[in-house]
Amino acid sequence: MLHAWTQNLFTLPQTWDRFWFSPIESLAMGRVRAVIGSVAAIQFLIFCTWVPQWLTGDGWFNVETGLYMIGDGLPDTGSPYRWSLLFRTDQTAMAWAVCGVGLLASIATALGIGSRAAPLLAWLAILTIHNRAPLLALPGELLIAAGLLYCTLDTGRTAWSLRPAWDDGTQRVMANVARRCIQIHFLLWLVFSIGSMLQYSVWWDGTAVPILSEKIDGLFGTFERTSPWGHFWTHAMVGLQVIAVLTLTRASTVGLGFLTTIAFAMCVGLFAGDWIYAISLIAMATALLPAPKPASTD
Amino acid sequence: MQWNWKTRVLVSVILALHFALLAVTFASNNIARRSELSDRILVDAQPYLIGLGWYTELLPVSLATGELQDNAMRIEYKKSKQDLRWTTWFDSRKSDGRWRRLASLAGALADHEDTDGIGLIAHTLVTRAAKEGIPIDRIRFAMPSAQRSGDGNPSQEAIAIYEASVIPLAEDDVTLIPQIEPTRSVPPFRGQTNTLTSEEARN
Repeated sequence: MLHAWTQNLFTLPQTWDRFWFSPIESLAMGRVRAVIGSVAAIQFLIFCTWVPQWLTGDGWFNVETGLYMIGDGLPDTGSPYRWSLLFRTDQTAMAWAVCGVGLLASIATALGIGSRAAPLLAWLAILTIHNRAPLLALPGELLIAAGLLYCTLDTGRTAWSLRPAWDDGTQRVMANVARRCIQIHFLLWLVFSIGSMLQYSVWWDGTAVPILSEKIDGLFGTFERTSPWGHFWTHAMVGLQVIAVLTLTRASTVGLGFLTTIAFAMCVGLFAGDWIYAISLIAMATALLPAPKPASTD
Repeated sequence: MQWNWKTRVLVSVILALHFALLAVTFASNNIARRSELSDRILVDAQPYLIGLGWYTELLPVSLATGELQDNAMRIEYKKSKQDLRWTTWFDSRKSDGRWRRLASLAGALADHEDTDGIGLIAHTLVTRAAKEGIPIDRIRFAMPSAQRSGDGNPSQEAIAIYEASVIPLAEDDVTLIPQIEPTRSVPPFRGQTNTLTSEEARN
């Protein structure tokens, strides 16, 4: 056993090298880009319904409130790094412009056009909104923002994108680096999401889902705090995440891991009422699906 | 095309640093007290973590914590001093995710006895309401009671966590006079990467 462990240790550099720096078909990353771009487009459509009403001069969450909430003027809060156009101007037109640019860039990202510029623009727009009011942000928004930034690493050719002359369909290392970054980021997120939940007694005593159900007008109504079904779903949500992490990390069980992630995402939507987070989880998990086989050149 | 070894080593170092910082950030998520080393790393890496949007401390990834910010919240108002009943303006249970986040934020601020913070939120809501033609004399944030009425439905009773009278000023502005002071019970929730409370930091 010690011998096998030592062997593994010696082959670690090669394994690392293979994991990160094997070239893959650009289309493999393109599929992930298409899904992340689509979810980002949905997010921007939703932003259009609240950002101009909330994050403007006379909005529900004006600049003064926004600055207070990010700890402006306090040491070590990191407020100077929360850059946002929406702090500089409180005009409604600017809020619409940010949402519009973000929406168009997300659609371009999903369609595989605009190379690296499209996801970069979408990411800038999403961060502009997020930095303006981080306490109003939902988890899915930051998860997709990270996905968009990783998408800028590769040109992200999708099956239906117009194929530029310089993109001859050869395998690319950068496509693999981008895809691996999304995979690791997502798995880290899941692992620490489990850790974060288990810090609170409500995820141990089974009352978390009943508490969540009290906050929303959900499909299943409100669970009593003592409801066995409420307790069952609380433990199921933690268990599904654990199973997802364990199965997504093994090539042979990645399909099961993807299905488990979908099941967890459905729970998030149904019990926490956060469907954006739910679809963001599924979008990020697509990066873990096996890369499509390269098309035959015969 | 393969990369040469120098590029691979450089990219490997960058990736290792990036994911190590992410791991520290995620591990610190929702932890009220953490090690001095994590604090130092998070503060030193703020330009990278916050500037590029990797920072997630303020996001409720745990979904439910069992604390005050988890409670359903109603924002209620009275149009005039003669009003006996509160009118429900927003009910977090019937509103979208953004109002639920605002309700959570109000609950957290009240829990942390941050009168300035919850007052600012109430002020911005009242100002916006005036623009929409809703005259407000008194505003309150209230949690629906967990008690149930005789028919088994949730009671209409509510526990106010913040309440303020609205005093009109010149030039369409208003000021709020708090009627109920929130009570502190848990550590701060606002954007802070160090372990100082907001009061300690402001002092």
